[in-house]
Amino acid sequence: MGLPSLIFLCDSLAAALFAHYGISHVPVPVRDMLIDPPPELQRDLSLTEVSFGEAIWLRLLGGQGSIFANSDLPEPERRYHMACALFTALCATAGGRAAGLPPVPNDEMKAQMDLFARRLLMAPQLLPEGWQGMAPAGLAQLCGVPQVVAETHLAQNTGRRV
Amino acid sequence: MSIRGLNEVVGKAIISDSFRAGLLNGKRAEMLRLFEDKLDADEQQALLGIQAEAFSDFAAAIEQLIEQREGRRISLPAERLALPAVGWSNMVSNGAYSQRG
Repeated sequence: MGLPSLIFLCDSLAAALFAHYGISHVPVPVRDMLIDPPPELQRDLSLTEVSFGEAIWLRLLGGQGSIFANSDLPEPERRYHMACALFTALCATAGGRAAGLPPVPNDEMKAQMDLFARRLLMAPQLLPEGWQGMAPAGLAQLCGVPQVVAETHLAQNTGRRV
Repeated sequence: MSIRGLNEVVGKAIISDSFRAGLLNGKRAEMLRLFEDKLDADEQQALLGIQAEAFSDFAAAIEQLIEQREGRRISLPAERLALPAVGWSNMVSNGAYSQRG
């Protein structure tokens, strides 16, 4: 049997995280997820706030994984980049590898991180009915993401140009 | 049909090593009892019937099950990025990666 699709794995991870944290609406508290990760991910995830770059996941010498996120970025950008870095971290876990999440790095990594971040921060089950008809700026504000990310999400899920 | 429940099983298995191992080592029924309130009896039976040695096979079978029952793809083709056919044998896998690119 082939590997599951990436979107299915992204939606599955999002669903498990929403269940763990009891999340039922946007904005998704991605920073809280990194500060207090599920017990099984505590060796892989933590948050270190810095004043440079965007967000990067690193496994430190002792084995602890941490996302270094630039706390000076505007909130929507910071949330989006933290979600992208979270995907990198999940790819590197034993479970991520077993499921068939992509190796890190690979040539499609940027697109893969973007897909995960959008499926997490703009998960369809958390959005109001009719969200596909929303203006990008409104969707971005509702979800706490950059407008360009909301535009991509609308274009990918509705086929309409925004 | 609870797509969300099925997604949660797969997501939980990615996050939890013990849950994932249980799904594959004969404790699947016990593991699925954790999702009794989220999966109906049919879904639990379907999951119990999946034959898979690797977790990726199990996850792919669940995705296929959803697609068959729903009679549709989960999402638009444009959203379905292909996974690279690359293994995890290299040293980079557990190392650092910058998300900027």
